[in-house]
Amino acid sequence: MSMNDHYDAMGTRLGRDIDAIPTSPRQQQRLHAIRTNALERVRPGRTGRLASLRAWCFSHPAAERRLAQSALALLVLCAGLALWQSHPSSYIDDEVDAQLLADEVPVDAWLSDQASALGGERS
Amino acid sequence: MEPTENLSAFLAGIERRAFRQAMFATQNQEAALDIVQEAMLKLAEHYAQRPADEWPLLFQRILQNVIRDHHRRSRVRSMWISLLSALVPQRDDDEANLLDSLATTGEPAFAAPDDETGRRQTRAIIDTAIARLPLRQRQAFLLRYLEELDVAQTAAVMGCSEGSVKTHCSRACHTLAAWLEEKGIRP
Repeated sequence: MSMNDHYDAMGTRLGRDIDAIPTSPRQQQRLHAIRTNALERVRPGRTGRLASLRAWCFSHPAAERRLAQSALALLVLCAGLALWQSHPSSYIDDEVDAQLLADEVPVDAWLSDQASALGGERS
Repeated sequence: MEPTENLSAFLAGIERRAFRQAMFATQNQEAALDIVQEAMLKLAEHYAQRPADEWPLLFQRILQNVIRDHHRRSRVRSMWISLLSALVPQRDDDEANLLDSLATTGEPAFAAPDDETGRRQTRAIIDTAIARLPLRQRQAFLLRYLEELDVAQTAAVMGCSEGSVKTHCSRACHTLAAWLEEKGIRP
């Protein structure tokens, strides 16, 4: 018999010994009350997708970790995108902007060729 | 059979072992009962509608999580208590652990097989030995040999690999064998 088999046999014997330890009447009474209390909390028809996902995660702990890591990465990405969108790089030509402030630019100055022409005239 | 009746039968079947696991983890009856209650409530509230064959593993996972949460809360509480107790003068505590007296006699604790006192003493020593195991080794040992889960199921409950389960079980058995033999009990 290998050491593992020996330990296995020993563990099985000890497990049976532990299982044979009786609970006191008071402990049995408490456990019965706990069980009754738990059964009163059973909610009928609660088979939502979230409950199914949680049960699946319990059965696949490694996948649960990967799911949590993916969710965190997605959250960081969304936060980064939101931050970037709140500070857009300037899309207004600086020269046209300055001219706007000085009220020297015609209304259609946003057209790229006219804006470039304005820039050419200045230089 | 109604789902609630199924669940009632399932809970009645596992409550004693769940209580035993929680007692090993906490060494406190009230805390153990709280843990069993919390685990049963979570199963009943969230997973009662799952197929009945999923309940054993689900319940074990919930139970281990609740035990882990209990240990975390205890650690935080102990940290605060030790911080505060540094401010309070300590008194000498002369109480001895009853089981320590068993350890120092050097005599075998196991009497004749039909001796009820001897059996009770042996059980107390086995209880102490298992309670002394590190958390993960005790979890693996109890799930394998008390709950009779196989290696794959134990790994799923503990959230580790099957190799880790085998290692934990092997170390637990090695430690238990050495401790029990020291106490004169042939495991």
